[in-house]
Amino acid sequence: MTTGTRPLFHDGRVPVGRRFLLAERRRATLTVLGVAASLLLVLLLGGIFAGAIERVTFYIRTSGASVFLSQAGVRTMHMSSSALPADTVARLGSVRGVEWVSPIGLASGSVAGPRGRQLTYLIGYDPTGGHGGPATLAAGRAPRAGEAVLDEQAADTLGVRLGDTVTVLGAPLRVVGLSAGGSSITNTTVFTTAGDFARIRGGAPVSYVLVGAQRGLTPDLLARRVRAALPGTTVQTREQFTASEARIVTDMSANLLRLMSSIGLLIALAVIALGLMTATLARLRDFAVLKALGAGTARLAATVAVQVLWTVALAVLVAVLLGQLLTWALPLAAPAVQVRITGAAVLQLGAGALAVGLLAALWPLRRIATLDAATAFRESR
Amino acid sequence: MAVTARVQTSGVPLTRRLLAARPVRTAAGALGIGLALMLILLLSGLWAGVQQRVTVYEDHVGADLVVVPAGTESLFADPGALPAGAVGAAARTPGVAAADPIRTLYLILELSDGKAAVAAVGSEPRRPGGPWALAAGRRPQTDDEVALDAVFAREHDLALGDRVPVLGHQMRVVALTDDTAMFMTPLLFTTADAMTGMLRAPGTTGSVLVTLSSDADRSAVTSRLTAAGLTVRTPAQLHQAALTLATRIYGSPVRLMVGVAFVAGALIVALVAHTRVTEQQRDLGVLKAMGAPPGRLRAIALGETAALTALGAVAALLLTGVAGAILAWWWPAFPVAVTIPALAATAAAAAAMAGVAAWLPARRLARLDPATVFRSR
Repeated sequence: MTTGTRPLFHDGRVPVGRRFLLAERRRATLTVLGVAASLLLVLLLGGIFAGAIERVTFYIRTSGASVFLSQAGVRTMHMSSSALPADTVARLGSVRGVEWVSPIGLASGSVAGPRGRQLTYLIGYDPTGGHGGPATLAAGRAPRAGEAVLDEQAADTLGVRLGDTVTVLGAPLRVVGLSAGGSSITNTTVFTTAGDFARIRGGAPVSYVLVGAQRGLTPDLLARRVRAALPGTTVQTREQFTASEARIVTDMSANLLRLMSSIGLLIALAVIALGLMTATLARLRDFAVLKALGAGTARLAATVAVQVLWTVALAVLVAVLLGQLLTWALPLAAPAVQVRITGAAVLQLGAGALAVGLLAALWPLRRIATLDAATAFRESR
Repeated sequence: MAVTARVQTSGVPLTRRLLAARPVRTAAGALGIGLALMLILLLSGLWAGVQQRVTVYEDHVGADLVVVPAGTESLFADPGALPAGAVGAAARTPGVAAADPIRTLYLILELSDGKAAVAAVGSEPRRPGGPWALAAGRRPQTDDEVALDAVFAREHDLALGDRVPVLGHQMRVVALTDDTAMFMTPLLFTTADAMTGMLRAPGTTGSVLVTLSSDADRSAVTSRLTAAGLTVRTPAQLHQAALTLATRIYGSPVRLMVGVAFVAGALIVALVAHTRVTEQQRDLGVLKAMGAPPGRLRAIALGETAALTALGAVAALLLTGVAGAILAWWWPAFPVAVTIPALAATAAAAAAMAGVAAWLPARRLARLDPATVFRSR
């Protein structure tokens, strides 16, 4: 025997949880926005580091080289120093499968223009070889003696146009080209000739060597051959070098990200708990009526869980939308800061938010579990 | 009439009574606000800590003047190179008591537990530029020795006698240093010769630390060094350059984070304030039915929100203290410095949040229908 009301709850056609959540729209809106703001904080910090990884690895990814050589024990470019023996390039010439070799010099310093100065990596390369320089030129041409290619974003910040002279590591160079994608939150990139690099730095140091593979040869096989031919160096494929470079950012930011994520999720937990607690307390009589009509504790718990799901889903959606908006708007205000929100980051955030949301639901669930159905028949609170 | 007069006087501490009527909810609301304010305080504290820690080397460089490569403003970020002859040229300058070469640069260490960025310093043994406070061990003297920041060593499970790979060389840890945990890049010390060898840069140096004679005039010596073609910076200029650089790199993200935290905080305060007014609608309806004017009801909403925010601010201080203690234990290199300006900024943020958040319930109360009181719920 079933009561007439039971099927109403069991066939799932009455979305009680959603209705309870949305019955008080202002509270629901404030809860969702509060959670969204907390999640946005986590999403943005992760996005800033993801953006930094993208920029830090840009030169390596777009270089066209299959294999990179660096000083023994040096596996990165960012914040790194590398100096290779002078005979490295000559020895590479005898390695089977090498299509081209491009030695580059890399130094940290600053570039100064009319509107200030900026940290930069100075890359010295041989423009006649066609490798080792900027992947593409947004404007102008490759440098010759006394000239440089500057990243267009840095040029904009420093107030530099084609034909202007900038001071790079204390030396004047005329800007004849603008490259793209070489500026990050920390610094930009200036390309010059190997000759000018040697003049500015003193001597003719080779920091890294980029190696292109002959058609049909895998980077792994070429790397093995180069490793065998030059045992005193670090040899990495482009993928390995990119991953190694990205790990600088991830390893340096891991603690900070963990901390900020914990705080952001803690605040989301507090907002969800606060919203759910007050929503549940305000609707205790309704819950009691449902209980009096035959809804079990599990059914009532499900309504709370549904509220959590809706709150988290809407908050994640709002946070992602706001994050995307900031991804577009932030570079307009602060060109050096790139934000990249990935699908993996959104999924991770959603899972974290759901976990804290369910945790936050524990108190209302306990309150409902101990709720006396007779409350429904009392005249007032 | 008598009732109206009673309501209109401010003798009845309504705000306090309303807050005390539901202590658990008041505490929960204050806790939520406290968390949001704690976030702002932590971010401000982190920023203040970063600013204090990024100049730690420049503050202890132990020189009166520093000769740097042309164009160099920051010792670690744009180090450059000088011909080794610059050391002798500086030493021969009248008024200079000593000139000591140093090399400063960022390095990535390939440790067993991942990559770690350090600010590396190569200096002459027993000369200025090296570590200034040792927690254990002795200063590096030979070319295969390093001194590590003690906090960094603990984080990476490194101890005296261990080997650390630096530019492909296995260096032995001979000292752990105190007060050298620069933000994100703790200091690593070795000898100047070791650094020159590892960088394959013979015949060059990074910078030159200049110690003046006791009777020398700083500006006169600076002029002489500049006339000799050298670029000279004071430690104060290097300090300022490091600070400016940190502001340029971290400033925008930190400001953005504080902005989002402020919005989150304002929304939490608004949620708490709105919820309380909704819950108290019947009680406030009674007041209105008894003759309380809309202004009085608005004042109650504002007062309650302000009181909750004040409680939240107290909670934030306590939470920040707890969070600071946890951070000091869990991540000692995380530099949170709660300063007076940070406290003032957070208090201003709290006041602004309360002002923004109180608007919604105050508006709602002004339009409250006194008939609410006669409804069953």
